[in-house]
Amino acid sequence: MKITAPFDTVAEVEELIQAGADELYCGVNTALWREKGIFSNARHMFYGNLSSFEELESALSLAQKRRVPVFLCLNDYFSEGAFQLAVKDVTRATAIGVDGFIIADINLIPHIKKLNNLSRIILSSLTPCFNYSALKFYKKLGIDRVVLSSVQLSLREIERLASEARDIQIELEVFVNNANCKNINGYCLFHSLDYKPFLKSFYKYRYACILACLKRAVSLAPGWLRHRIGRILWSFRRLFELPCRRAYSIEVLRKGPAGYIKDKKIKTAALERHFSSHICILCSVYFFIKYGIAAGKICGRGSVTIKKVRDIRFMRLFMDLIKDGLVTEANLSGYGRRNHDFIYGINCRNKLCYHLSISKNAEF
Amino acid sequence: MRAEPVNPDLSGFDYIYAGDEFCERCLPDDKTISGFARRCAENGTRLTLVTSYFTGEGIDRLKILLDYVILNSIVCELVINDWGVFELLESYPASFRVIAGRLLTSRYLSKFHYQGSKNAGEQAGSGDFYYSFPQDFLVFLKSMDVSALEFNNPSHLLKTRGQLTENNLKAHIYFPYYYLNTSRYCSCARGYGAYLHNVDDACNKECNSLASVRKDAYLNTDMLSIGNTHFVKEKKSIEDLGLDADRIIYNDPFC
Repeated sequence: MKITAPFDTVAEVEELIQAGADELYCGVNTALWREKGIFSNARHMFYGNLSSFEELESALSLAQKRRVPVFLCLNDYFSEGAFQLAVKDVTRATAIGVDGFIIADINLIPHIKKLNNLSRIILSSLTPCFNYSALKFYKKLGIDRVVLSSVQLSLREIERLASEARDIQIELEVFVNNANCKNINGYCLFHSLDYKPFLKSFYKYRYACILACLKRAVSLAPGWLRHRIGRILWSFRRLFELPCRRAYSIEVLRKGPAGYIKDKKIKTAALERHFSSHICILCSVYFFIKYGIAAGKICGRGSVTIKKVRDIRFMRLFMDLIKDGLVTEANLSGYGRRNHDFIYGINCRNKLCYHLSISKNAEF
Repeated sequence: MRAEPVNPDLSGFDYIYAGDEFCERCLPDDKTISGFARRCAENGTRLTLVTSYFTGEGIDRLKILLDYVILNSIVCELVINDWGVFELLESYPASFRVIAGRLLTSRYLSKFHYQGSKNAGEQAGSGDFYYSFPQDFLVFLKSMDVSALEFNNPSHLLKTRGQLTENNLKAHIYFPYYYLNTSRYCSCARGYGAYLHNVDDACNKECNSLASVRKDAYLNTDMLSIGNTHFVKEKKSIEDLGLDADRIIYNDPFC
C-alpha cells in the first residue's frame, strides 16, 4: 500500500518524501480563483493550497527527482464559470507534467483525457462510492482510482468493495488519518453558504473556524506550552466548534395519534464534540493492506509540516512492521498504540478507535 | 414517504414519493411498493420511487425491487441519488423515467448561492459565473436519459431555471424542508442519545416514529433531525419565494 501525503508549501516536499511518502497531492489556488473569491478544491483555506503554478512546478521538479508522483486536487463541484477555470487549471497542470488529478466532478474527466490520456484520475471521496455498481460506472468513465470514505464504511464493506474493485481492475484508496467527520462529505452542505442564513453571525463562525485551526496547531506544540495555551483556548470553547461539531440541545419528538409530541430533552455536548474529533483509523491499515487497497491517504492540507511528517512516519513504521510479519490480527492494537506513543510522543487515548469500535459496529 | 401511511389524505397531490434519499434501509420492499401502487391507483396519483446512496447490500436489494417492479408492471418514476444506480439501470433499458436526485445536484451550486445577503457571487456582479450548472453536467445528464433535476434549495432553482428550460430539463423542488447533511451514523436508532453506525440490522426504523429538533445559540432557526439527516425549514411561502418549479415535493413530516 502506498502512502499518499499532502503538501501545501514547496519547502516541505523534500521532508515529506524523506519521511516515507510514496505519492504527494496538493491544491493550487491561483490569482484567477482568488479574484473570484472561490477555491479550486475542497480545502477552502489559503494556507492549505499553493498559490501559483510556478510553485507547483518547483514542487514537481523536486518530487520527480525522487520519482514520487504528484497529484493536483480539483476536488470540488463547480458552477459553469468555475468549471471553465478548472479546465484551464487542468490544461496548465498537464503542460507542466502533473501525474494526475484528484477530482470530484466527473464532468472534468473528458477534458483531462483529451489533454493527456495517460494522466491518472483519482475520484475524491467528495463523490461518494459505497457500492460495486458505482465502481463500474466510474471505471467506464475513465477513473483509475476511487477514494473511499473509510470512516463511513465498515471493514466488511471495504473488504467487499476491494474484492469487487480487483475484478474490474480499478484501484482503491482509503483515508488512514485525520478524517474524522461523521457526515458524508460528498453530501454535506454544512460548510456551504446554504448554511449561512441560519447563523446569527457568519463572522463569528469564520472566527470560530480560524480558532479551530489554531487549536490544532497548538496541539502540536511542546507539552508545557500546549497545556497553558490549551487552557486559554478551552475557555473560548464555544467558539471552536464547527457547525457539525456543535453541542446542540436536542428535543426528541415522538409520533403519536395526534402528531409529534415532545418526548425528552438531551444535551449532546460531550457526544458531538467527542465524536467529531477523535476517530482514528490508523490501526486498520493492517486490514487495508490485507484487502489489497492501493493507497492510504493522509488528510491534512493546511497542517504544520511536523504533523504531516509524523503521520507519514507512523504509517511507514506500522507498514514495515506488518511487512516483517510482526503485526497480526491479534496484536495489532498493541503495536498500533506503541507506535503512536513512539511517533507522537503521547499515549493513544482514542476512545473512538475505528478498528475497535466502528468497524465492529459498536454503539457509542 | 418512508412507509405507507395508514390513512393518507392524498387530495391535491399528483405524486406519491416512496422511499428516502438518505437511508438505504428505507427502500420499500416488494410488499410496501405494491401497497403504494395500489394506493396510487385508488387515488389517481402517480408513483415515484426515491432511491438513496447505496452500499453493496443496498444495491442488491434495489436490484431485487426493480426486478419485482418490472415483473408486476408497476409504473413508477425513479429518483436517483447514487451514480451506481445509473449503471444498474443499464439492465432495465427505458423502463423508468429518471430524475437526478438532490444529492447529485445540490453540491454544484451550494457554495455559490445565498439568498438575501451578499456573497462572493453577488459582490463580483457576475451572475452566470456563479449561478449556472456546468453545461457539461447538463449534457451528461441528458445523455443518461435524465428528464428532471431535483432541487434542495429555492435559491438554486431561482437562478438556474432559465438554463434548465434551455436544456429541456424539468425542475423539482423539495419544500419546505431542505437538507443540510447526512451520515451513515444514525443517532435516531438510539433515541438521539448515541450514534449507531448503520451497518447491521440493529436499526428498527425508529425514524418512522421519532424526530428531533436541534437548538443552538448560534442559529437563527432550529434544525430538524430525522434519522441520519439534518434539515432546515424554509420560512418563506412558495408565493413569496416566487418558485417556478415543474413540481413541488412537499416534505413536511409534521403534517
